Amino acid sequence: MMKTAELNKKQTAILQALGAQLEKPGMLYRLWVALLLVLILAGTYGLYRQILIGHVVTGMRDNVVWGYYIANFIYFIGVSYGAAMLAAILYYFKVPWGRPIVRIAALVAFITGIIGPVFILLCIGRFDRLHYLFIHARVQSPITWDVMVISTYLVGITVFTYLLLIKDFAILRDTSLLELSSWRRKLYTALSLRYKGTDEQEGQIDHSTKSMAFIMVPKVILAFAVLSWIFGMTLRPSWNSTIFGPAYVISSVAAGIGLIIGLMWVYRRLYGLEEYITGLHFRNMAFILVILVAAFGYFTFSEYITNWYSSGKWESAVTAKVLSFKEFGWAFHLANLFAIVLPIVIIAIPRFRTPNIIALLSLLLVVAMWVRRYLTVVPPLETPLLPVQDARPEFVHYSATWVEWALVLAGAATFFIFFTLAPKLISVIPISDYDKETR
Amino acid sequence: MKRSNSIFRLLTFGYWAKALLLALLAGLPGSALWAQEEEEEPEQISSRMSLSAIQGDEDKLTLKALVRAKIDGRFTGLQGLEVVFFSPSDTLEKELGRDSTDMDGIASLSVSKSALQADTGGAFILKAVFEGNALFEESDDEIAVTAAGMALEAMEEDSVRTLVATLESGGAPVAEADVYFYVQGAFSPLKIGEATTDEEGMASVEFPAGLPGDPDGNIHIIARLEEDETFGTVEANVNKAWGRKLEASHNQSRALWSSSPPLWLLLTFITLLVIIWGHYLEVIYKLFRLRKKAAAEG
Repeated sequence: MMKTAELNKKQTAILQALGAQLEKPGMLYRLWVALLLVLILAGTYGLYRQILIGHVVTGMRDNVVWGYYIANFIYFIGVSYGAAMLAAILYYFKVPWGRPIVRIAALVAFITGIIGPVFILLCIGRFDRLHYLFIHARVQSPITWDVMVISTYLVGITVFTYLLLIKDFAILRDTSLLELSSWRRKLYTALSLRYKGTDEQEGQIDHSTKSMAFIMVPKVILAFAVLSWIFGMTLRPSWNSTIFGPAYVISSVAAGIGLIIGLMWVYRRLYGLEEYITGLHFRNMAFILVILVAAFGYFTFSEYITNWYSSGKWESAVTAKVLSFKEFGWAFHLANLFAIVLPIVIIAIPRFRTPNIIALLSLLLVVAMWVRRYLTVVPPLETPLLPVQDARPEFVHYSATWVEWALVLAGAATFFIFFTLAPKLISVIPISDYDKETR
Repeated sequence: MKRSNSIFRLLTFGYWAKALLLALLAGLPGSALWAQEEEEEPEQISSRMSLSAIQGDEDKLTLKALVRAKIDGRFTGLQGLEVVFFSPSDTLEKELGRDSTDMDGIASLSVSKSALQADTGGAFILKAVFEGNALFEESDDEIAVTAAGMALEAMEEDSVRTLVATLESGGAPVAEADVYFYVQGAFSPLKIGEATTDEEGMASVEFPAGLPGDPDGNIHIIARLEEDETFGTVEANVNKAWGRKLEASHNQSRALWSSSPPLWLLLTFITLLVIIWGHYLEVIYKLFRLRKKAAAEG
């Protein structure tokens, strides 16, 4: 009998816990998917309006040329990089408690990595000139670096995620525990590459995955850096800062971990995976989160106190806007409270380190980090170095329109629909990783 | 009719999509959600027209009609409006042509003076009309222009360069008129001097040395009588190779700003891409090999 067909107790238990998902969708599930599809349709209608009429249907204008789309782009792609980095490190160092997390992290990285770039495409006014990015590419331009880095990264994370899944595809192909439809069997057969679990095959897959994980870390740092340089290398107050890159890396990894914790919680509750995703996993992730969030708090403080103390004209203008309660003050302070202060204070208290509280903190952090992204993009754009005279108010102050809201929500809905569909196709807990358990 | 119309509007998909979104987004701070796309019925704004004429070389006369309106407290040129130009006489209004206003709010039309009919005083009566639309009220303007011509000569004597403009109307010289001299720059004309015409209708200035020209040293020189009550604007042009030759920059050294990137940047870029993609290819190749081997082993 092939190794992929004979499962131990634990593997059988996982398969049985998740199998129901793979077999047949329920009513609530259908309703949820329908709701998400409606949101995506609304976004599609917004996109249709935007293509038909032009970017004038958005709140983006002459000065504030970027808004929700770019905020979403840097948010999603940052989360993707962060999740990829975590998955790669946990995998490479074979962190014992990391087994169930690697898969979820890789899925987050893969899915947000697909959604993120869609939002940069939404910023493009002339789709017919999209290929100019390649045929007129200038090696000197950070935009060119970003185009290269993101496409390279996407291929990398796809290969990495796939490598992580091959062994499970083989198990799903060979299992007799589940009644799978024939198209599924065919799909798993094709995707499992005739993997049978021989020592040689296993060694080769492990080696390839490990080498992908190894190269993932510098690649992700590079990708992070390039994206942040698009801002950092622009001579704009509060963008043109050397700490922009590190602060972006740290906060994105934190947001990525927040999302992973959220998904761990959802999958655990939904599929009864308490045995595999335990309180220990939540606590360990929370500790990583606290370290990152503390570093981000330090970077934030360092950035703003430097600007405040040196009183550069334009930097001060941006800082004043961000701190003023009449402008972005509430958003800024609340975001810092939820993204920095609360996680540190609450996780410091041992009795609060429960999966529920950690998941709630992560949810707040995920939203707060998005607000910080928005504050990265918009206030500096509202503070042009050349004062704008006689401009209409909507040119000076950005406010998103329903089209942008619709597309942002459609992006979030796409994210959720991917994560709703993922357990229908793959096992969210790596079954193959439990093969060394007692038979 | 009106009621059924509004029901029809309510039933469009856009309406429902928006209503659904608003319901979902209730509570989110997005006042702009409501502001966008709500079409208000605007009142008509009064517009204002100013017509001017430029008499150029030979027979040419160019009409320029500027259409403006007071928007947010200041006059702004209106784009995309159709202006009709007429030459009215005692008996009928002859249409000369039409043009749409450009982004500055100016519509223009060139006609030949010989095709125009002068009135008893020897002047051309010219009129421009904007007929109004849903947003702006109609406006018009009328001017009288007496035919005049200007000649511009560029003379060089003992390395002194002089520009002489001669202004005439109906064969007689025009005296006591202020003529301005310009050279055309990349964007707008640069004034180099002004003079008043003498009894022979001549005005002259010395041409300054050291002005930059094109790669052959050519400079485009303009003499102009500006917005005169009787003649409107009258101008003459001449090209002279009196400028410094502009040296085209052939400096294509590698730099951040030139078309070829610094070598270190190019090498870093290529090296990184080659390492990462080479690595990908190796992993993907191994996967193919794994599958092939498994197939061979059965």
